[in-house]
Amino acid sequence: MVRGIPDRELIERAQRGDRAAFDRLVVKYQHKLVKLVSRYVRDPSEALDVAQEAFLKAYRALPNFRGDSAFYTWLYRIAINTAKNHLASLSRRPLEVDIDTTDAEQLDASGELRETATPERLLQREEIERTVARAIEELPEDLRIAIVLREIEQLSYEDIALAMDCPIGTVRSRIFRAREAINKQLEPLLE
Amino acid sequence: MDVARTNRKPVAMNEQRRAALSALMDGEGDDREREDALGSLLADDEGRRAWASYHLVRDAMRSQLPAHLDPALAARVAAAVAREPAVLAPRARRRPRAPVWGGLALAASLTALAIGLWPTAEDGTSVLAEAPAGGTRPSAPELRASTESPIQVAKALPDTTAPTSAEPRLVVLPEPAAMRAYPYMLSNAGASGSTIGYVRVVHALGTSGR
Repeated sequence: MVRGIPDRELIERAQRGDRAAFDRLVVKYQHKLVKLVSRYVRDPSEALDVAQEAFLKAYRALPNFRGDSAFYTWLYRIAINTAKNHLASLSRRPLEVDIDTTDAEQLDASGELRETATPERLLQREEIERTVARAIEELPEDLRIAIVLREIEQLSYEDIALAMDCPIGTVRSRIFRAREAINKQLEPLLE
Repeated sequence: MDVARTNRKPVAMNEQRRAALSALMDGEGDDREREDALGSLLADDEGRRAWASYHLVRDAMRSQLPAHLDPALAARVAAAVAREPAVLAPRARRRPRAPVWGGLALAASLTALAIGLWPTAEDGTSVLAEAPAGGTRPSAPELRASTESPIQVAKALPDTTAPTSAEPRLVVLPEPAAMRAYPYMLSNAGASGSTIGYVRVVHALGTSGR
């Protein structure tokens, strides 16, 4: 069984005022949270705004987190409530003034209303997943098996060592090298 | 001076740090290693970047990515957090809450159930039931507890299980019905020679209860 991931330590530090610790939790959970919020809020830009607001609420409520549930479970509830409140506020908004479709700036080349998504650059999931999948395919077999057993099967290093008949230190090294190799292929997408 | 050797050392240290972060992410390593890796994670942007990239790979492999990713989201959150007042230390744990009345009623009921000692009339029904003015024995559905019974405590307290009720109703099953509910008790009644031969099943109901 995998030992506890460092959420507890990061939370305790964040509760003592370490904002970097909270930031590392945000980095860790941001994708899951945005994905969750996107189930309620379809517009990508709005979903990101709601996720940001949820994280901010979580930060403010951090003194109240006592560890009775997993951190992500707690965060999950905050995000859902934030998304629902956002939807409720949308239904209370007055009707927007009709967009003047004769305004050329509102239209793209095909005459359709232009998407006004911000931020400026969003990455596409498919692109990242394709890149990661290709990178895994190109890994040496021992690295590929190790990273798949860790990330997909979620085995502990100990169990992977048993499965691969190698020392735990070797498992650790293989997983690290696999991650490094995959990251190298992702770098161009993230620049 | 061997420039190559001098230059090699910082790269090796970076790799060590990143390897430690990789293990930290998996919850692996002993306490000392975890503590060191945590420090490394929080120390600078390099640790942060490695942490972010490893989690991106993980989320991609586990199909946990949203349709659209914003590389700047975490930074925007950090900027917003920086404008917030500092998070205070965790609040002291609150004093244990006083038990809710319903819980006390349940405790009283279970106590009564466990003891089963309150006096019974010849026909097995509880003498806790006060005879109405007409002198006839009250029927099972509604009985009032004696002032000496722990059930009295439950009766005096608001019934939280049925918010619309004004006063809890207590139901004491007549002896045969109570015994049917506990076949074990039936088969073992008197086997030990104990004088406790009765089981009372007490329910606190709202006014709409049956």
